Amino acid sequence: MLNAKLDLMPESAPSLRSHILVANHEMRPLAAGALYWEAEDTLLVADLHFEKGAAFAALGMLLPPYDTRTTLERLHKVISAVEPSRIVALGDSFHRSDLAESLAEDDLAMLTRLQQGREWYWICGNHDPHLPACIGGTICTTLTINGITLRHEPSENGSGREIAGHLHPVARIARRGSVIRRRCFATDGNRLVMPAFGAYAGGLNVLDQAFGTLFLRNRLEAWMMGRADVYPVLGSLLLPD
Amino acid sequence: MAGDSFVFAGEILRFEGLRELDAIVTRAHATEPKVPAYEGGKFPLSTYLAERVRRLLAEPGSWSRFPDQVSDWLRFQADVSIVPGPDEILVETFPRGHKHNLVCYPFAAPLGFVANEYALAIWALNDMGEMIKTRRLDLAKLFDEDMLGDDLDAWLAESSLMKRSFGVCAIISGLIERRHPGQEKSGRQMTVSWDLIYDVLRQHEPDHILLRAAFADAATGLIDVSRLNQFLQRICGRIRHIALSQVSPLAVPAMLEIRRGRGE
Repeated sequence: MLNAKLDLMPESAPSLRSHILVANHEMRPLAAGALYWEAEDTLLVADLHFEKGAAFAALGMLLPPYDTRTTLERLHKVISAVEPSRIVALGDSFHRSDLAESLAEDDLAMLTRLQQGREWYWICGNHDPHLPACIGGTICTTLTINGITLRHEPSENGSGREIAGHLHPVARIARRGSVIRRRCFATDGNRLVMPAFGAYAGGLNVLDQAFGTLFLRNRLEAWMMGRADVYPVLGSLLLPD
Repeated sequence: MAGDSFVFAGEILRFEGLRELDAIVTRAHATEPKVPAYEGGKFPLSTYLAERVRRLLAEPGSWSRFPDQVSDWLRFQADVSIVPGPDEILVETFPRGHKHNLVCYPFAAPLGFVANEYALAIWALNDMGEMIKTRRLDLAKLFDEDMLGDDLDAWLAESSLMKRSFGVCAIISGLIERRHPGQEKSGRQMTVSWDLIYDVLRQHEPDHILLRAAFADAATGLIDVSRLNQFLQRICGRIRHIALSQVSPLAVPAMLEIRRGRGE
């Protein structure tokens, strides 16, 4: 009994659907919280929030200063698994713009190594509207690939057909007598909101008001992150916090 | 459950949900508010008292000393199943609804994770009674004292029990501020959830004093490892399994607890 896995999402049960359809483009969600667009060989991550620990320390809350390193290591793992030729970070990559300049040497070196041999795009977010050149890559406010717009904050107007971050979606379901709450990819087939990748980035329930009318309710799906796999869950099964 | 109204401190409140260690409520009007029962009001058994209870239960002759409802309940239990002897551990299996249940009765002092003080129930989709008979489920292995050690440590480290314990330590140490009702306006950017901090800290500084404190709290406050050890030693070789076709009288409180806890 003490050996029983507490994570009720089994590692080895394959989900029947492994790709999310965003405006008719197939994307593969990865359990680490990244989205791989195979046809474009592009890896998407959002809300890395590098140096959030440092930002809090400056305000007097001395959190363990390892969040940047942890996030970088997780990023390294997912990049190695997929080896994309292009990576796009969808905003709030740094918890504060100026902290990008004070990255620890080792961390900056690791970041530079990850960027080598591939295209790297930093989309600006509300936390990091201005990014310095020392972090490499290409800095922009939005990026459109094959008809899909990549931006930080999801837009209420327009046709959708976008992938955004900013909202840190989390989904909550009841399963076999227990409640599970996990980060998730939230989508209605047209627009997708990415989970937050950062080690200290919190989460907001996908049914929260902040998500407003972003998704067509009857087509909402939460792709919930388990230990090794991602599980699509119908919107009608979701619970508020 | 979210939406339930209850009476507390002279007011009627509606339970909105849990956020980490806080229950969020709003003032409400309800015609039939519930009365919450505080779990801390349960009487914890000391090892000696538990021993006496076991001996009393094992002697049918002494049951007349109990109130009628209790002695009737014990007699019914003896008819349907057995009342365990003082050094036995009873394990009952029975189906209920679409699930199979296994309940064991340690009758020991609080060991941790018990549905209530005297019974531990788990449920599964496979018929555990069958599995025990056909030896696919080895009860002796399940209660093997060797698992207290690496297995328990590994489980504990990942468990929500441990994370909650860390949360308490983090608040006491001042690492995290307790959120007060007015503060939420400042937005989610001002807080970091302690389970995220726990994961990062465990990876980079596994020996950190807060982790050690949290582990010590979890290991003795909520699970008493030495008592668990004593218990496992005592029952070695004395497990009695009874396969039943329906719930036994002894199992009823544990089953009720499960229903209540899971909001089924």
